[in-house]
Amino acid sequence: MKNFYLKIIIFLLIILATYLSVERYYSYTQNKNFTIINQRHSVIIQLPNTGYIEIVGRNDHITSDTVNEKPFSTNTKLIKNSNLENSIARTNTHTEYIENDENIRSLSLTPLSNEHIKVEIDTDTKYTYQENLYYNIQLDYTNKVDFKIEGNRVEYSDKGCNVIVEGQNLQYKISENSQSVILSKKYEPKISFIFNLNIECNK
Amino acid sequence: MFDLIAILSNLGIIIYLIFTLFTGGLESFSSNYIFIGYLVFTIFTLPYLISKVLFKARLVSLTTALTFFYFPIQFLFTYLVSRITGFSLGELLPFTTLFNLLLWNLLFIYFVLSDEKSGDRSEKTIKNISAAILPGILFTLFASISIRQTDSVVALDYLQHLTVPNRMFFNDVICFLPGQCSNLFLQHGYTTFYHIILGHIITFLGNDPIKSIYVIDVLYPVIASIPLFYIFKDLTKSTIWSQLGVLLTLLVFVMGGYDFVFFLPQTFALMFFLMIFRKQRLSKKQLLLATLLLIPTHFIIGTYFSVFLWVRHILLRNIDRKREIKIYYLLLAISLIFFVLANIAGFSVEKLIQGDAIKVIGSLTNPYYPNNLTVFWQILGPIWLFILVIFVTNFLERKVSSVYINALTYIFMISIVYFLAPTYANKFTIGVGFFSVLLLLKFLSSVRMGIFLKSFVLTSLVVIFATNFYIQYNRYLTFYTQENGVVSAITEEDKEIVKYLNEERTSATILSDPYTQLIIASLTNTDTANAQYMSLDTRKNLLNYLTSPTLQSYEALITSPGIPRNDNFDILYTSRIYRAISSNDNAWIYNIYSLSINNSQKIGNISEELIKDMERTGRYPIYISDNFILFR
Repeated sequence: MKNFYLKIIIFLLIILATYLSVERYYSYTQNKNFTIINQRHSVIIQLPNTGYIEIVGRNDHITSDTVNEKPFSTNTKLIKNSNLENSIARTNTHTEYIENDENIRSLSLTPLSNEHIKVEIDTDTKYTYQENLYYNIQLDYTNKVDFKIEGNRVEYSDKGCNVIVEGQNLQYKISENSQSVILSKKYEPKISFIFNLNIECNK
Repeated sequence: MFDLIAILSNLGIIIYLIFTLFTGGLESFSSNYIFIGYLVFTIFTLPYLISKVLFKARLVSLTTALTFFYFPIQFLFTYLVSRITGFSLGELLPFTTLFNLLLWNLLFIYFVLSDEKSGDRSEKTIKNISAAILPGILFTLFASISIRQTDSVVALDYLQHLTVPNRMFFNDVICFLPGQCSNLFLQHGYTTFYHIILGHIITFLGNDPIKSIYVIDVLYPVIASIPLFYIFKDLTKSTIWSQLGVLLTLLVFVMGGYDFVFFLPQTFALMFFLMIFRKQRLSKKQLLLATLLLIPTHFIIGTYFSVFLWVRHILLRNIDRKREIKIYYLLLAISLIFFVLANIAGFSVEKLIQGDAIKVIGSLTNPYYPNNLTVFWQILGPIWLFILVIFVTNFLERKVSSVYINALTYIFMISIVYFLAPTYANKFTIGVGFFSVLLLLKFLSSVRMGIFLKSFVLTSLVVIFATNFYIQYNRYLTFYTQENGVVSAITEEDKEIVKYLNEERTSATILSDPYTQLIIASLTNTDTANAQYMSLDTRKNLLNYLTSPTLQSYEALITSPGIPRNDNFDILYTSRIYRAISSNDNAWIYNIYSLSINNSQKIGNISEELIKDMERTGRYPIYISDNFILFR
C-alpha cells in the first residue's frame, strides 16, 4: 500500500517538475517583447519596434511651487549588476544603485514574463519638507506618442507595440513634448515607486 | 576485451603524437587538442594508477586522494634538484611533466599485463571505468555542443590561478601560498597544491593556455565521473542506475561552487571529498589524513568538507533509533527555518561581521531576500520538491538508512550556511547536486516500479536536470558574452597586447584597467597592480589621472596601493579605459567585480595634456593597435 502511494507521489512530482522545467525553458528561450540594457547611466528597455523606454536617475526631480531640484543630476557612486563578475549578478533582476553624497536611489527591474516587467525604485533623499512637494521619476520614450491616462495606469501605442504603465498610489503626468510619463508621489525622505510595465508587441 | 581496447586506444594516441612530431614538429603540440587532452587525462588519472598499482588500494579511496600529494612532493624534489644542480625550475619542470606521462604509461602497461594470470582484475576495473566515464562523455558532448563555444575561457579564476605556476616556472621561485608569488590574491584561500597540477597541464610544457583551459573544462567532468560512479555503484549495485546518478550529478550547475564544471581549488577539494566520502566508516587516523589533505586544497571549503566528515564520524553514524532520527530531523528543519527567517529579517554574516571585506570589494557579495530565495531555488529547480518529499517521507519512516541521514545533513548544512550569508555564500552550496542525486536514487530505488514507470521517471529526470543546467549555465555566461556574440573572457583585441608583451618583455609593472591587467598578468607573466583586484582607490586615482593629468593627480596615483614605489611602471591605455572616459561610465571604480569585458571601441584622440604629462614622467606612447597605447 505504501509503495502504491509513493508511486503516485513520484508520478505527480515528475509531472509537476517537468511542467515547471518546460515552462522555465520556454520563457528563457522564447523571443521577449523587450530587451533590458543596464549599462552606463540609465536603464533601457529596448522594444522590437526600434523604440525604447529609458529610466534615468538624472531625470528624477523634486518639485513644488517654489522648488525644482534634481537629487541625482550628478552621482558619486554608480553600481550596476550587469557587469559584475561575481555571484550577485546571476539573478534575473537588473539593478542600478546610485549615490549622490547623502542621497541614495536604487532601482530593480525584474522581468516577470515575456510581457511584464516589475519595476521598483527606492529613494532615500534629504530635503526639507514643504507642502505640495513631490518626488517625480520619469519614463522617457524615443518617440512622441499619445499617452492615455486611465485611473492607475497610463497606456500608449507606437509602431505595433502597446505599453501600459500600471502602479498603485502614483500620480501621472505627461511631459510637454509628449515623450515622457512622469510618475509622482508626495515627498517623503524614503519613497518606493512600484509599478509594472506591460509590453505587448506584434510579432 | 576492455584491456585490449584500452591498450589499443593508448597506442593509437601515442602513434598519432609521434606522427604529429614528425609532421608538425614539437612546437605543434602546444596547441594540439589531442596532446593537451591526453596530458589532462594522464595527469588527473596518474594518482589512480599509482594508488592501484603501487599501494594496491581501491580505485576510488582515501589512498587515491592522498596519492595526489605525489605532485607537490615531486615539485619539492625538483626544486631541491634545481638548487643542487644549478638548473632553473624552468629548465627542469618540463621533464617532470614528461616523466609523469612516461610513468603513467609504464604503470598502465604493468596494471594491464601483470594480472593476466591471476584473475585479470584490470579487465574488470577498465570495464567499470568505461561505464563510469560514459555519462561523463555524454554530459560533455551536451555541454560542448549546446552551451560552450570552442576555445572559450569562461572563468576568470583560471586566469588568476595561472599566474602562480607561471611565476614559479619563469621566475624560478617556489611558493607554498599563491600570494607569495602573485599579487592577484586578496586572501590566502589555499596552498599551491592545485596550481602545481595546473602548471603540469598548461605552463610546464608551454601549452596554449586558452586551448588548455577549454580542454580541462571538457575533460574534467569525464574524470570526475569515476569517483561519482563508484559511490553510486556502492549504493545501487546497478550500472545503469549509477550511470544515471553520474549524469544527473554532472547536470547540476552550482553558481559559485561550480562542482564539476570547472577545475578550481574548491572543485578539486570536492573531488577529494567524494573519494574519501565513499568509505562509510573511516578511522580517526584516516579522518585526520583526510583533513590534512582537504584543508591545504582549500582552506575554507576543505575545512567545510572535513567538518562534515567528522560530524558523520562522531554524530551521524550514532543516530539510528527512530526517536533520535525524528528529533534530529526536527532540529535540522527548525534550524533552517530559523536562519531563513533571520535572513529575511535582514541578518547576514557579511553585513554584520565582514564589513572590512565588503569595503574592499565595494558592495555586498550575496543577493538578498527575495532574490536569494530565487537564486537558491534555481540551483536544483523543481528537484527541491523531491528533496522536500523525501525529507517528509523519511521523517515518517520507522527505519532510515544512513544514506538519507548523511545526504539530508549535508543539504541542510549548505542551506543554513547559504542563509547565514557569509561573503560568497553561493560557494558553500558546492556538492548539493551530488547529495541531492544520492537522495533521489536511494529514494527511487526503494520504490518498486514497473519498467514503464521506471523508464518514464528516468527519462523525465534527465530532461528536468538538463533543462535546469542549460538555463543556469547560459545565465552564468551572460557576463562572458562579448558585443560580437563570442562567449569568452579573452577578446580578439586583447590578443594583440598579449603578443606584444610576450615579444617585448618588461620588468615594469603594467598599470591599466583591471580586466586588461588580468589578461596581461596571466598570459604574459607581467607584473600588474593587483590585476582584477586592483584596489578601488587605485582605480579612482588612475581614472582621475587619465582624465585630468596634473602633478597632483600623478602624485595621488603613484602613492596608490599596488603601484611600485620605484616608479618602474608603464601605463597601458586601453579601449576599456577610453570607453569609460568617453561615455562617463565609471562603475568599475566603485566595485572590485565591476569589469568590462569588451575592448573593441577604437581609441580616438587622447588628450595632449596626458601625452605631455607622460613625457614629463619619461614615458612615451607606443601605439600597439587600435585598442592599446602603451606609455613606456
